[in-house]
Amino acid sequence: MSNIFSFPPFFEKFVRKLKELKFKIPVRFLRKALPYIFILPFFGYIMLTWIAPVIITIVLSFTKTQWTITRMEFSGLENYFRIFTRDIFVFSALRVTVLYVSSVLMINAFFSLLLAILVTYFVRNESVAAAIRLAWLIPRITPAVIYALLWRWFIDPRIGLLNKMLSMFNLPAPHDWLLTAPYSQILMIVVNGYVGASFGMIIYSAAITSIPRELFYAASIDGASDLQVIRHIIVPLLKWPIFFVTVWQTLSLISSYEHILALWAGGAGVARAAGVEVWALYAYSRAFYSAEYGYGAALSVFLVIIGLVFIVIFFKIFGFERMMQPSKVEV
Amino acid sequence: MSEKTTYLIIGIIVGILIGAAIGYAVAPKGVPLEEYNALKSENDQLKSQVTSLTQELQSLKNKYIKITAWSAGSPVDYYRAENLKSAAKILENLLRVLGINVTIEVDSYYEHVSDWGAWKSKFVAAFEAGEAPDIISGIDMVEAAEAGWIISLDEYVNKYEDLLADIPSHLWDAVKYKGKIWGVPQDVASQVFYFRKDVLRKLGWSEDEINALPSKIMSGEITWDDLAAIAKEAMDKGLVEWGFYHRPNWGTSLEIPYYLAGGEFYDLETGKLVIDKSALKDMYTLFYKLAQQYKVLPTTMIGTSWREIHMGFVNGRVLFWLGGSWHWGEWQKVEYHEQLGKLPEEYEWENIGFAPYPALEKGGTPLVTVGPWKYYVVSTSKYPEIAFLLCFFASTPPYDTNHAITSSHLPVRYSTVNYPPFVEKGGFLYKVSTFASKYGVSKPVLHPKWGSLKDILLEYLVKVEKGEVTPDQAVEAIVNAAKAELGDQLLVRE
Repeated sequence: MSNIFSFPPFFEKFVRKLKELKFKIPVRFLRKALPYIFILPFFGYIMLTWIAPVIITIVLSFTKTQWTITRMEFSGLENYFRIFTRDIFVFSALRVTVLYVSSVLMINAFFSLLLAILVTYFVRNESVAAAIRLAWLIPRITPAVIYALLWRWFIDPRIGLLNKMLSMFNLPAPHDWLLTAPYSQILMIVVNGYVGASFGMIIYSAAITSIPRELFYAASIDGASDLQVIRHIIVPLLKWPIFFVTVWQTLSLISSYEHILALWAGGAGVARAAGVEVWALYAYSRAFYSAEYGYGAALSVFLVIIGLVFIVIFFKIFGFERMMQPSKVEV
Repeated sequence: MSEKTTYLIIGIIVGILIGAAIGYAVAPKGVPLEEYNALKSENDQLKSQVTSLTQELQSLKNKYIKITAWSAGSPVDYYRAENLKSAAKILENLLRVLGINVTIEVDSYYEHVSDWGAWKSKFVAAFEAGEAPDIISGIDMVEAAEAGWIISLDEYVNKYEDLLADIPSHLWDAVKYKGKIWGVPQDVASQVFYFRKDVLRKLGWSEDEINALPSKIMSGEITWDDLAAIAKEAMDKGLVEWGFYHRPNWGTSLEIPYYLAGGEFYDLETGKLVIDKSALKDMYTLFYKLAQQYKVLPTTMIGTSWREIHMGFVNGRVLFWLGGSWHWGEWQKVEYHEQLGKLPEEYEWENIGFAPYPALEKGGTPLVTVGPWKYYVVSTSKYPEIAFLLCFFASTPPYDTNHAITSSHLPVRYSTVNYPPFVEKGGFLYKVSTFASKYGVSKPVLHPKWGSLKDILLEYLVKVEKGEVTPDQAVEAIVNAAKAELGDQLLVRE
């Protein structure tokens, strides 16, 4: 009978066959190589879909590739110099990106914590909790184009529900949500936040349900209020998930643009005029509208550098080294 | 020798000499040797061409040729794809007459496109993957030529020069870039200014006044300001929601006020992009006045869906529409009207009028822009000559008529204009042709960075219409942004 510390039966058979053929097989080598052999297909997939495109993008960023990607002309750091010296649109893109990332992060990393606490701690009825989770998961499972179309109908000044609902509560109902800042920027934040909040909610919900129930009982016996339980039990024990969600969402938001592209379709000028052209969308426009693949790649690489800087900052803020010490609970 | 014999011989000799002289005088002059050699060489050339063509055609014998074509446009432009299939039949039959049995199959794909960036991305992805079609339309000609996606067609245009004389020569000018021809004209688009006759009736206009409106626009008696005042009146009386609609993204109809003011976006001599500041100011002032001063144009036009725009005008909620001739056909084929669905043409004649775009000032000349839609032959095509011929045969009068009548684009061939089915059904197009021939201008902007300039123009159009910047501020900002973006590829004129 095989156990987890021996080779699988088919592999034992394979090794015996090779021995019969009198190959000198270093079994210890095979034992060490086996895990890598198993992950090779997945590693190949990662190479093709992630590592290779990253390398190609970095290479492209040092070229003057325009119109077609097969005609590359090395140009050194010219694209990077252009970002900082000649491009008049990057600063507005940077400003919008800072606004976008910081605002949506509040929703994705911190509002989602409130949501998770709501559905796992406050709402005892599992059906109600499931309904709340579903309501927040629907945007995530809806294709981006459909999601954008639904928002377009929702904000339409003639037939959309949003302005009608706002008027019912005597709130200002702007005629134009799409092109007038700050309404267009509020829309951008809400549209993306509604999608992103579900990620944090799922991670945090799983983490909260893993907290040993005894801690809650003990707190209840000690007379702790709900706020005290959240502050002194739940949040401290969720430090690792909070760190993970914050970093993940920051990197994801820095490079996301698909919902903005879908909602503000019409060319680069439209998003820019509406004040919602984030850096990633600007890089996309340069590459695919203006066919300046080299320059678009340079803008994308710059985003990667910013992302790496953020990782270092978050590691410091969250005390990564301290967090790597053995955890007190299974999370 | 007797005297008689002597006179006889002399007479014969004189007779021969006179005869020879007469013969020389009346005989056709021989060809000079140089000319003879030139003619002989041309004849030999023609012979070798015929021989090589015959050999080429022989190589096609019993061959099966598949041509793929991607066409795009509005919901009613599907004949751009269908006509290529019909063209294949013509070419097959022609070749059969020459004794060449060949089967040509055209796999023609048509897409209703509203996001041309996505259409281009689709083509580029296919091209890079080696799966590009043989024939493509709807991409920017300059970009495609620079990128090497399409081939120049001069060789085939020269080869079939006699056949191609049926297409107006000015259309061939519009498909030239850097001295070479890159596309085959497929139809002619003309911008058209539409108005709602039923709304004017409700305003108290008589039929004569309504029918006289186009001629007053053409004479310069009615300008944009006059129409804005009419629109304001209609809005104030609650007859329409808005006075004007324009397209939701950058296009030629938005450029017309700039051209009316005498501006150019492209300098033919230098091949550079141009900004005429005073014309640009006039253009942005017009849109500013319509949106902010008269308040007859929504400030949210850019980014509005096409469907909403067409439904607004077709259902009489908007008085004036800055459109194109093809919209006449689109309204008949797409269900925009909330009761009627697709508009019968009788309804259009009864309730919708059309004219060229008005002048900016009294006494000025109105204007429409005209330009061809083009087929291109992709550089990876295995049968570029066949593809070229298909593009040409696709506009044979019966097919040109089908496309023109269905889509309300102007025909591309001279011979179509007199083709009986076109004469019978082409009433609207005749009228458009009348003012297009008088007030039409062709303004191709053949520069690879035109897209970047359009983005900047669009950005500031949004800001001007929203009142965030004045026209003066917009012009200065556009010039600064364009200079930074285009460098020495831009000429700025005061």
